[in-house]
Amino acid sequence: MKISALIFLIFSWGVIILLNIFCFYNLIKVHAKNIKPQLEIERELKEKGI
Amino acid sequence: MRKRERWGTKLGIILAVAGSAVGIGNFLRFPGKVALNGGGAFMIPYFISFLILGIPLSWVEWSLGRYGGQFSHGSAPGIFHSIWKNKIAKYLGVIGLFGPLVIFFYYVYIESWSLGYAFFSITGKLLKNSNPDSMKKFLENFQLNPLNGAYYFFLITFILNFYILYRGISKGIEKICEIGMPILAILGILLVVRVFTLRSGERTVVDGLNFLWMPDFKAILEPKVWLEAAGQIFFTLSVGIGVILTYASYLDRKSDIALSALSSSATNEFFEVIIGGSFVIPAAFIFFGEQTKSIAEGGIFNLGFVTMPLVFQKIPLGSLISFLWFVLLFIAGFTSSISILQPAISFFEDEFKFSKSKSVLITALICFIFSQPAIFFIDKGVVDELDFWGGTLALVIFALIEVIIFAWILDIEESWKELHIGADIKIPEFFKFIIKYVTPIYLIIILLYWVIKNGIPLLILKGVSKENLPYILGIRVALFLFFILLIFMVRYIWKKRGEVL
Repeated sequence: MKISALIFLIFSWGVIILLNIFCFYNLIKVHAKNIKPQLEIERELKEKGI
Repeated sequence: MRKRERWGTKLGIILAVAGSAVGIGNFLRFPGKVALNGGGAFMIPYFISFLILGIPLSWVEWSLGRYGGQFSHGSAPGIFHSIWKNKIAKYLGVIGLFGPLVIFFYYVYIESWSLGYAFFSITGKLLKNSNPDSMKKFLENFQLNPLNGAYYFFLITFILNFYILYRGISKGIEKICEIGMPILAILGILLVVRVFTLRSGERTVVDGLNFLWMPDFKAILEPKVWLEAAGQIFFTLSVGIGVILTYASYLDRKSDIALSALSSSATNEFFEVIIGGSFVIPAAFIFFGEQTKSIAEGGIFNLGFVTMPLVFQKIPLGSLISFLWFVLLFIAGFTSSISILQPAISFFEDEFKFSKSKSVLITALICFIFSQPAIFFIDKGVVDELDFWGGTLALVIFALIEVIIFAWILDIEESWKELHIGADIKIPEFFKFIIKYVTPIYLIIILLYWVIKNGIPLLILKGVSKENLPYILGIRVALFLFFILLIFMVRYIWKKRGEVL
């Protein structure tokens, strides 16, 4: 592949992939943070036999 | 007060907004624009427009929508009125009802072609056409003689759209996007893999990618290329239509919008740049070589409905690949078309307090009546007329109004705080400056360019034949009356409530 075409392909794909990684990493991180207390409550309730 | 519907999950609304944004244009319009406007170099103005126009407008629309939702308003007249207590605000909001409805009047017919072509791919009827002339004739016959088949596909598509909307936000739109978007991604990746393994004589996908991505730096010195890039970003992200405004109104007050808006934009860009940029043009180049440029100049329907079937004809399992391609276009079109109807349905539900079924029925009736000219007079220039008023002019004006309300009428500092309520990310401060100054100026430039380039010739009926004149004038009068009718509806509602007219 011609080098200048390859550079623009990698540049364009790279920008989009990095943006998606940033977004979905943060979404997963927030989701994990929100779900942790919920799971803890569920575990406590289970331990208490409720 | 009646309880408004809510999105089921955060991922649900991200996929719904992405589904609205990912449409037929991602797979056909984008690669065509890249090929004709400097190849890889086009991506420089494209990404700059994404940064200073696309992302800021997404945040603006999500913020205004969520804000209006807390007052039980889901469409632009009510949302604008809840933010700006000027009597003109609700009337400016009418543009946000008019635009999406007008787009639907013709989009649903185009969407139904994909369904028809998927059917003809499987039955083998489509790929029987072995040369460009017979393929063009097949398309013309399909489009211009709707009662020969196209009308039935239109009816199926039309009914499916309204059925999903009748199911509601969470059980209808959210569900269909949660199923449709992953299918779209799988189909897209499958098709790209197929293109990457194609060969015709000496030509492989590498030649196709070279053709598409080879930068022509002279192109970015032309203002036209910058405006084309801005236009592409504008259309692809579904901003300025009023859809995001409505979708965001079904969010809780403390739901994140900063990260969600960015994520749905990022998802749309994945479908556009990575999948859309790797399929149509590279595949066409493998089989048609340098002719691809003139094919792209022939427009997106030529590319998608004439050239692609000719490519499929030359490859093993062509009927199946053709079927998958048109299913992909149909799903992309479907998740977009349901979204452009929701502002009108919200308007009837929230402002008139109609039930869901009554709101869906009234919207369906309006759309059915207005779709008929787009179907039966498509060759008389009616679709171009609808596309200019609803799909171009209304969008830019509406986006400009939104950004002015966000940055100037509501103070930018207040808007910034509003945007950050419940936010999962902190948006860099320089976007304040971009939203306040750069985005509106950029929009004004786009508006002036389009009005001069397309609007004035269209307004003075330049190049319209005597035969088409009554149809064009007829649809223009009908659209004008429709706009006035929407204004009177808003006036009636506010009068009934005893509020300022």
